[in-house]
Amino acid sequence: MSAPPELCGIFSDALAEVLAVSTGAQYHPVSVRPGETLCAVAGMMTLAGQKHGLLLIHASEAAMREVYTLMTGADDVTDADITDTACEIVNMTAGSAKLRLGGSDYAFSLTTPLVIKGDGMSLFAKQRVSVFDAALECAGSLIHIKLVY
Amino acid sequence: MKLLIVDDSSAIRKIIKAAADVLHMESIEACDGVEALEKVTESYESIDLVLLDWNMPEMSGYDVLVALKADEKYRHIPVMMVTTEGQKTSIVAAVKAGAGNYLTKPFSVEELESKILECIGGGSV
Amino acid sequence: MDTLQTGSQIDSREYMLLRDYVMDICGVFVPPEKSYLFETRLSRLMLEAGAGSLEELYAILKSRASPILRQKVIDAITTNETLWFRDEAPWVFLKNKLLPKFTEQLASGAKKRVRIWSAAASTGQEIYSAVMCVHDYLSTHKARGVDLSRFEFVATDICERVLGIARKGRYDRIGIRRGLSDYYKNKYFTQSDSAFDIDPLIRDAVTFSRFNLLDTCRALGPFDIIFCRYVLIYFNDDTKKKVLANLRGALADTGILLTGNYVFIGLFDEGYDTRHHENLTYYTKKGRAPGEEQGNETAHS
Repeated sequence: MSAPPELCGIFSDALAEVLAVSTGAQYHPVSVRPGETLCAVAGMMTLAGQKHGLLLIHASEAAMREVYTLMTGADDVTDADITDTACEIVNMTAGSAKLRLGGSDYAFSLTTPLVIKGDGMSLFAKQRVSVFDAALECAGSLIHIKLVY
Repeated sequence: MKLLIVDDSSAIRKIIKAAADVLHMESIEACDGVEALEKVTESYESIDLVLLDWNMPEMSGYDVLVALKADEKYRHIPVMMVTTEGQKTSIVAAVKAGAGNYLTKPFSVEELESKILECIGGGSV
Repeated sequence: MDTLQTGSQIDSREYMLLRDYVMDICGVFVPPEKSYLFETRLSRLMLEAGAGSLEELYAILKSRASPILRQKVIDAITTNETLWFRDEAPWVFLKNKLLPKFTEQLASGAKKRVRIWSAAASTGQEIYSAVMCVHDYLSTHKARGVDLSRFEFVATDICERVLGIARKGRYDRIGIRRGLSDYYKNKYFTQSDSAFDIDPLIRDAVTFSRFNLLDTCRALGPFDIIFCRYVLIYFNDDTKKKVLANLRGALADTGILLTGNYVFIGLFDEGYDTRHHENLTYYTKKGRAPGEEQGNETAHS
C-alpha cells in the first residue's frame, strides 16, 4: 500500500522547525517538481520501523554551507563541515519527525545518518514505492527533502 | 568552570563551545563515547558538567552516562543529555540513570545557555 | 550505533489536561499536532516532581504545585528565539516616520517622554534593537537637544531565565550574527574573547521585568510603541481577545501596536484600527492616528 502524502508534510514541518531553531532563519515551503535528480550534498537516514523508509535532505554545497554558517557563526567552512551539517540536519529532522509520528503506523527509530556527495546524482525507486519531494527556501537558498516509503 | 562536550557532530560541538565561551567557561571536546570516558578519566577533577549526545558511534551517550554514574570517582559530575531523542521513554531512562538535565535537538543558543546555567546552579556570568 | 525503541505517544487525555493547564497559566495554545512538545519538554519535570506520568504531573500542578514548578513549566513550554532588527519594515518606519515626529514633539515640549515596550522580550534582541535604532537616529540627525534619556524602554517576558540573559546584554558569536549588521555591531558592541557585550549605554536604558501578558498591564503604560510580535499566534482566540484588550489599555492614545505578522486582530478586538505603511501593518486605537498626523498611512477597521 502506498504511503500517505501528508507524511511528507510532517517531515517538511520537522525540517522547517530544525532550520528555524538552529539557524535562526525562516525557511518557507516552496513547490517543487518531483524528479530523480539530487543536489550535490545529500544527508540520508534509514527510518527503521514497521514500515521502513528513507529520508534524504539534499541541497547545493552553497546552501549547506550557509546553513553551517548560520548554525555555528563560523565563516571558514571546510568540506568536512558541509558533510557534518548534512548529517546533523537529517539527524535532527528525523528526530523531530519521530516525535510527531510516535504511536502511528509510521513510528520509527533513528539509525546512523549518512551523507552522499556528488554532482548529477539520481535516485530511482521500484514501482509502487512512494517517493515524495518537498523543498524549503530562505532568501534564494533551497533545501530539498526526498522521502521514500 | 569546565565543560566536557561530547558529540559526534563537529557543528554541534562548535555551537556548544560558543555558548561555553560566552558564559566564560572552559571546554574540552570528545567526538564519541569512548573518547568521552578517556577525557573524564584524564580530567575528572576539573570537569563541572558533561554535555552528552545520545546516538554516537562506538559507544552511545546513554552507555557513557551509565558508566559515569556507576563509578564512585565520576558519579558527582552533572550530566546533561543533548540529543535528538526527545521522547518520554528516553528522557525517563536518562534521568533515572542519573542525567540531571535534558535538552532536545534542535535547540536555540539561548535555550542552551540557560540550560547550562541551570545545570551549574544558575550562577551569574 | 545503538538506537532506542520508539516511545509511546502522549495519550489524548494527558494532552487535553496539559493543553488546558498550559493555556490557563500562560495562554499558550499547543495544537494536537504539537502534542509531542509536552512529552519532550515536561518529562524531566515530571520526574523532578516525583510523578510517574504526565497525568500525575498535571495532578501535582493543579493541587499542590510550588510557584517554582509552575514557572518551570512555563519556561519549558515557551520558546525563545529572537533576531536583531527582526523584519526590516518596523525599523524603517520607526526611523523614517516616528522618530522625526517624536524628536520634534520632545524638543518643542509637546511630549515629555517617549515610551517603548517589548512585551515578549525573550533574550533582549528586540528591545536592544529599538534602543540602538533610537540612539543611532539621535546621534546622526538633528535631534535639537533631545537625547536618549527622553526615551523609556521597558522589556518584559513571562520567562525569568531568558530575562537573565537579556539583562546581561552579552551574546555569543552565533547569537550576534542573527540579523545584526556590521554597522550596529561595530558601533554598539565590544568583543571580549568570543562574546559580544552591548554598550552599557544601550543596556542601561532598558528596564527588564517578568510579566505575564494575561495579567493587566494598564499600570505599565501608556506606551507610544508596543512590540508584541510573533506571540499572538501561540494563543487561542479567547486569549488573543484578552491580550489585545489588555495591550490596548496600555497603549497611549496615539500609540502604535506591532504584532509582527498579519493577524486579523479586528476579529478579536474591535477597538483597533489596522493601518499600513509601505509593507508594514500596524495597529492604533480606533479613530486615533499614530502621533498627531495621518501622513501617508491608510487605515481601515
